[in-house]
Amino acid sequence: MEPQRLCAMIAQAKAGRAEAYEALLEAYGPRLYGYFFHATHSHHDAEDLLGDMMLRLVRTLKKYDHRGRFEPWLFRIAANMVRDRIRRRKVRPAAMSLSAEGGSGEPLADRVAAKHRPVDAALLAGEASAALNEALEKLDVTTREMILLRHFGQMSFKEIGELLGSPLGTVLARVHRGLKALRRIMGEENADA
Amino acid sequence: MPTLNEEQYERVARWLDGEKVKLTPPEQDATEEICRTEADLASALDAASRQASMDRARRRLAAALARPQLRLWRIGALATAAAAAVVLAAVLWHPTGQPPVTAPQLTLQVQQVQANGAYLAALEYFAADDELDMVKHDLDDLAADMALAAAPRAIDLKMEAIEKDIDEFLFEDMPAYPAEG
Repeated sequence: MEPQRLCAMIAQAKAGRAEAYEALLEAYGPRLYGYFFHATHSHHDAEDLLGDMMLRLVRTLKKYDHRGRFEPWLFRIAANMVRDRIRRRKVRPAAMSLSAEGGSGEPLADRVAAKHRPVDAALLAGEASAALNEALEKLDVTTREMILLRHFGQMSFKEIGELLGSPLGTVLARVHRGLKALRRIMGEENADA
Repeated sequence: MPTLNEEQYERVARWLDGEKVKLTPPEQDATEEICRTEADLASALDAASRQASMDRARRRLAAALARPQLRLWRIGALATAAAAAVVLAAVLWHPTGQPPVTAPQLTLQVQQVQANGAYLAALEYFAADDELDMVKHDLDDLAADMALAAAPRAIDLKMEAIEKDIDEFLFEDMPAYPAEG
């Protein structure tokens, strides 16, 4: 969204205009969803978090002072929500069922049946996304968060460092190592396939 | 593949953040590799978005934004109804020993009742148009979601087939145990 239009939308949303919130959802919804999905490895959690995020936006946007950039503010809230969700999941692990999603965000039943999947099903759209999601799961939480905030939040390394309390050099070193690991893991998976 | 120290990474990070920093050849190589990998992964990262999830978020947002308006409307309607009830009680109820309502007082009270009646009618007109439409729309969406959830989906059928296969596998060659007792 262009800066002037974003500024107008924020002002209108602060005034309680529903259309402005819808415009913000249109503009940032797909990126927020992508961030939530790759951070939680679950479409169900991503959908839930996106809905919660919009409700939180309605409550907190009045406090937002639009002098800096909107994305870091938005994704800071999103990052806190993800951490909270992951923390709660550790405290109260979900019961595993055949309909539950596994690490790839795919229902377990589908993964069990994957060996018997017809050949053409492998060409389904989103295959690369699922592979990347599995590769991301192999990274440590902080590195994954840095890579996702960089891509979806379009945050600078300085902003990521401030958010996560890490020095600038450390942030980029971890991102660099993480990207190399992703490339290696995905390369290995492509070679296996 | 370039490996940098903390200080070099900091310089590269500042360059990538838009600062004017002069980079050494190894730093330039690392920068190029980071940018290239980020670009390569971008399309796979962006493929996760789902339209159905966006639609649900949109509906939750619309419901959340409609709620305060509905609450205000209910408070207004309740206050008006309470005021109308008080006025009606004052007009119609005369406790023993109290003087009856005089003609000017009665005229004033009738005017108030009429005014409240007109206000209620106006509220009803507006509510019927927008708020109730929105509530009806939400209820329709909910009914549609419930109908979809109730219908047997492909995944349910697939799960049934898998469960059946597991049952057959487990119980196919099971020996017959004698009943207890």
